[in-house]
Amino acid sequence: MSMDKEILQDFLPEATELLENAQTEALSLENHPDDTQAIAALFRAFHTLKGGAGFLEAVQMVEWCHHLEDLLDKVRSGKLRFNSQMSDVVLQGLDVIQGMLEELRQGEYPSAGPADLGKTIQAMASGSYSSAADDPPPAQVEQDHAQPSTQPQNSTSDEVRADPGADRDAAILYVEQKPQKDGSPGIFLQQETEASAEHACSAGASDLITEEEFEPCLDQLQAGEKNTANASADVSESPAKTASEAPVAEPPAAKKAIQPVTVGHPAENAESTLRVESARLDAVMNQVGELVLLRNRFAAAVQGLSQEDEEMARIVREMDLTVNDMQDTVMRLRMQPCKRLFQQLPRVVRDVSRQLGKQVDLVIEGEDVEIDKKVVDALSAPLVHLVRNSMDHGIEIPAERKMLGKPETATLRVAALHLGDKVRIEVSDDGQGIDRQKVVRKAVEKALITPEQAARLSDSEAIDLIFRPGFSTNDTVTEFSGRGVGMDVVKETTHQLRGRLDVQTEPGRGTTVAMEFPLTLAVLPVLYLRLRREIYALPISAVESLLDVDPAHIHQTQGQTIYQVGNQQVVPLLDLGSILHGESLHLENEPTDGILTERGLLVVSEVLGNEDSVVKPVDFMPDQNWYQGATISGKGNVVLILDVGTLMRRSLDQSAPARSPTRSKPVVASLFGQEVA
Amino acid sequence: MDMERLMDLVDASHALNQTLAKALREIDRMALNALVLVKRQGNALAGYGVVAQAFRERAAFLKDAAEAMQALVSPLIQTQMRILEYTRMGNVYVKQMASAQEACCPSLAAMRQQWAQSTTDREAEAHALLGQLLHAVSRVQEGIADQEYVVVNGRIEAALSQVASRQLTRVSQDMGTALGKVNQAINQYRHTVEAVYHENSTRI
Repeated sequence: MSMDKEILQDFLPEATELLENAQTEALSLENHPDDTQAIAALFRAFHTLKGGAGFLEAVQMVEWCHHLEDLLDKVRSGKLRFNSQMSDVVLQGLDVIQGMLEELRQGEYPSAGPADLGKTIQAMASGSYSSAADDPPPAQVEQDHAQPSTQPQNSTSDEVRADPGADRDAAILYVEQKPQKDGSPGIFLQQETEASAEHACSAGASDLITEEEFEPCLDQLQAGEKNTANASADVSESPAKTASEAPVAEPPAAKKAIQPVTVGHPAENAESTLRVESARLDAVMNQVGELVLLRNRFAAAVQGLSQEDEEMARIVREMDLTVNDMQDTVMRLRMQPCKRLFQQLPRVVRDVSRQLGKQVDLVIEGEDVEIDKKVVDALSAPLVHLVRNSMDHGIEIPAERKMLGKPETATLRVAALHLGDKVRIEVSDDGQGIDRQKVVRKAVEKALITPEQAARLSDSEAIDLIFRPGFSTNDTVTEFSGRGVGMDVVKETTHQLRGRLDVQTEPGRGTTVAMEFPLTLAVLPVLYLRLRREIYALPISAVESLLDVDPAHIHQTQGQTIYQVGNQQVVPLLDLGSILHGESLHLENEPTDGILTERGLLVVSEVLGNEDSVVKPVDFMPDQNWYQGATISGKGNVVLILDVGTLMRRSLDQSAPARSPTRSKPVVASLFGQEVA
Repeated sequence: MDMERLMDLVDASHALNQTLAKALREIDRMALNALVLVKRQGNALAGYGVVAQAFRERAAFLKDAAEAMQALVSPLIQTQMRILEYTRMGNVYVKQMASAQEACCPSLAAMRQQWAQSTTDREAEAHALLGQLLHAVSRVQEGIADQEYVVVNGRIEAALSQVASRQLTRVSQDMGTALGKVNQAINQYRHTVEAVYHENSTRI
C-alpha cells in the first residue's frame, strides 16, 4: 500500500490521544447522559478521526467514524438521548477504531468494521433501533479485533458462546483464547448447560452467536493463533466456568485476530515522534529569543573592552555558534511542511469547480517546503480564499477558454518555494488576468478612491486596489465572492506574518499572487542604521544591498524623487530624515548611506551593522505607524524596527499632493501616524 | 626637512586620508553587503558569513589603524613647522653675528646656540614621530595583508558555495579591488614617509 507515511506518523499519536479522550467522555456520558460538552467533545473526536483517516484514504475507518459521528450528531442536536446502550456501542466502536489504528500502524489499510455493530450504530442513529430489554445488547456482538484497549495483551481472552438452539438441555460451547499454563497463547473450548450459561449472561458476558457462526469464528480464532509465533491450539473440554471468570465478549464476524494496542505501548512509528503542546514550544522560542539578545549584549560588551582579550573573544565566537545552533534547532521545532497548508485545496478546487461549471487542474508544488507553524496556521483561510478567488474571477468557463484558444481545463498552480531565508507561496492561474480599468472603475464606484486619484495610479497601484477592504469587482454577492471581504484579509494576514504580497497579472494570460514569508518568526536579522543621532533597525529580509548615494543619480519626476541604480534600475528614493525628522538629509554636507530595499532606496546617515534580533511588540503605537516593533540592541538600547513597506507607501502618499493640483499644502512629515505639516 | 618636503608630506597625508576614508567605507559597506546577502540566504551561506564577518572586523581594525596613523601626522607636521621656525630663528642670529664681525657678542652666540639646540631637539622629536608613523603605516599594511587573506578565503568559500556563488565571487572580487586601492595608496604614502625619515635621520 502507498500510504503517506508522514501523515500517518502524525495521525497515529493524535488518533490515540483522541481515542483516549473519547473513551473518557463516553464513560462520563454513561453517568451524565446530558453533558453537552462531553457529547460535543465525543462528536469532535469522531469528526477529527474521520478527517485524519480521510487524508490517509482509510475508507473503512472513515465510514466507521462517520457512523459514530452521525450517531453523536443526533445526540448533540437533541434528537436522541444518550443511554447506556449507546455507551456500549460507542465504546465498542472506539475499540474497533483502535483495531483499525493498529492495522494502519502495521502499514495496512483497515478492514471493514463488524457489520452487525455498524448496523446497530446506524439503526440507533436513525432511531429505528429497538431498545427492548430482552434484546441482546449490541455490546455483545463485538469483533475480535476490537478488543477493549485497556485489556492487557498477555491476558487476551477471546471468548464466544455458541448457542445451539433454544433447547435448554443442549450443551453450550465456549471458545476461549487465553494463555496456557506455560504462558504461550492457546484456545480453549468449554461446554456447559444453558443454566450455567444464563448465569454467565447475567454477568454481562453473553456473546450469543448462532450455530452457523460458530465454526467460522473458531476458524478465525485458530487462524489468528497461527499467526502468532509459537502459538498452539489446545482444544479441550473444561469444567463450567463461573461468571467471574467470564472474559469480555468478542464479536463473531472478525476476519482475523489482531493484537490489541495498549495506549501505553505505542508502536515504533509513534515512538519516533513526540507531541508537544505548542505553547511549550512558544515558551522555548521566547527563551531562546532572550538568549539571543543576551548573546548580542555580551558580544557588544566584550567588543567594548578597552583591552583586547583573546580568550573572551573566543568565548564570544563559541557562544555565538552555540546560540545560532540552538536557535536553528528551536526554529525547526516549529517548522511544518506546506503540505499541511495545501492538503485542503484539492477538495476546495473540486467543489468550487463543480459549482462554477469550470474545469480546473490543480497543480501543487513544494509540499515538502517547511515554514513556521504560525504561518501554516494563519495562512490556511487566506490561501483558500486566493484559490476560490482565482477560480471565480480569473479562470474562464470552458466554452470561453475554447473560444480564446486556451485548453478547456484551466491550470491552477499552488506552489511553495524556498528562497534563502524566505518561503514564497504562489497561487497562479492561466485565466483572464486582472483588468486594470475594471478594477479602477469599481474602486471609484465604491468610493474607495476619487477619480483624481484614479487618474494618477500606476498599474501596480491600480492592481493593489483589489486588496482594499470592501473592494470587489462582482456586482452580485455569490457564495464565493462579491462581499469585498477576503483579499484585504489576505493582505492583512501577510502583513501580520511579516510577509510581502506581490501580484503579477497579464490580461488574457493569467495572474500570479505571491506571498513571501520569513522562514521563521522567532528571530529577525536586522540592519542597524543611524539617522543623525538616532538608531533604527531594518529587517535584513527587506534589504537588497547597501550603496553609496551619488547625488548625480537622483532625479525628480512627477513630484516624486527617484534614484537610478546602475544603468537599468530606477527606484523611488525615500529620505528617512524627511519622514522621521521632518528635515531632509543634506547629501552634500552630511554623511549618508543608501539602503536599497525591495521597495526603493532609503537614504540614512549611516549603516552601522547587522544583528540577529528578537521582535518585541510595541503596543502603545497607534494603528497607523511605520514600525514593525522594537528590539533590544547589543548595547542594551531599545531600537525601533522600521517597516519599509509602510514607510514607502506613506512616502508615496506624501509625494502625491505634489502631483495633485487640488492640494496646495504638502505634508512634510508624519510621525507615529500623526501627520505633521 | 625643507618646506617642499613638508608640503609633500602634507599632501600625501591628505590624499591618503581621502582615499582611506572612502575606501574603508566602501570596504565596510561591501562587508555589510556580504553579510546581508548571507543573512538573506539563511544557513546556506553560513561559511561565507564567517568570512564576511571577519572581513568586517578586519575592516574595523584597518580603520582604527588608519586613524591611529592619521593621528600622528598632525603632531609631526607641527614639529616640522617648529623645526623650520627654529632653524630660521637660528639663522637670524647667525646673520646678526656675521654683521657684528669682530665684535664679541656672547649673548648672540648663546641665543644662536639655543635655537640650534631647540632645532635639534625638535628634529629628534620629529624623527621619533616619523618612526611611530612608519610603525603605524606598517600596522595598516599588516591589516591589509590580513584583509587580503580574508578575501582569499572569501573567494574559496564563494567558489565552494552551492548558493549564490557568482554573487559571492563578485563580492569577493570587489573587496579585493577595494583593498588593492588601499594597498596602493598606503605603499605610496610609505615611500613619502620613508624619504622624510631618511632625510631626517641624516640630519640627526
